[in-house]
Amino acid sequence: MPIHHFSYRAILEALDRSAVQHIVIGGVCGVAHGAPITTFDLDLVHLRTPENIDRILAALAELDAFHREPGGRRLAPQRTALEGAGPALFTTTLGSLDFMGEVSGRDYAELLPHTVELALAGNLKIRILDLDTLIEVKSRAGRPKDIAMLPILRQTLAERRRHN
Amino acid sequence: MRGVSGAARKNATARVRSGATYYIEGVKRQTAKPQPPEPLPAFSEDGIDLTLIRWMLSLTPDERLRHLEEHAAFVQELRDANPSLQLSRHP
Repeated sequence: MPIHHFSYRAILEALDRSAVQHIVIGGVCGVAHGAPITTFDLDLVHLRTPENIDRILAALAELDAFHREPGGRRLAPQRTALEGAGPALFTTTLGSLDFMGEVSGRDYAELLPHTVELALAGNLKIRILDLDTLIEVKSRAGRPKDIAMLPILRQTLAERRRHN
Repeated sequence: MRGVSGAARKNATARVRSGATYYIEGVKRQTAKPQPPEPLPAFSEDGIDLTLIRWMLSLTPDERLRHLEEHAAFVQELRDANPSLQLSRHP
């Protein structure tokens, strides 16, 4: 019996119900673009206005979220963690959910022109980074886990271009 | 062919032959079976499985997300079954 259940879609639906303004980045974004990768968390860049943070906290409450931190403490989501540029990492009943105020020095407003909207089944619309920008962000991040993903993302982009 | 020089006759014959050749080549091109496309490579130069990427691209975003969820759950199940990984309860 798996300990964790993964439903990125159900998390996105919860965020949608609370009208959270966010951009899907990271592995789930790569998968949505067609990259054959596996990821264990949903990474988002969120708009850091007080109203949007209220909406995020409402969605996190619905998802029974707590801060993911060593020691197994179940710390309820803290507003201050969502106000900064750094990551706020949560465990939810449906999988891990990470919010970033900024990625590669760019916030929600700066990334918004580099996104595409996907219409999923059930009238769920999600906004994801375009593949070129995802590759750029991963390249700039320069961490081993980001660099490891780059060849697959680049080949996915090449195949998409060849296909189109 | 009185009045037509030998050279002119040769030129005329060459033009007719050239036209006929051009016509025949055109017919050949039109009737030839289309060549099968070059097979796509299965792997990129850096070893990425391109067949997997093409398969993913053939899916809808909904289907891609569903596969990801199923795959992540299965990998987690494998991790849970491995006693050496029992320390971490976080993915």
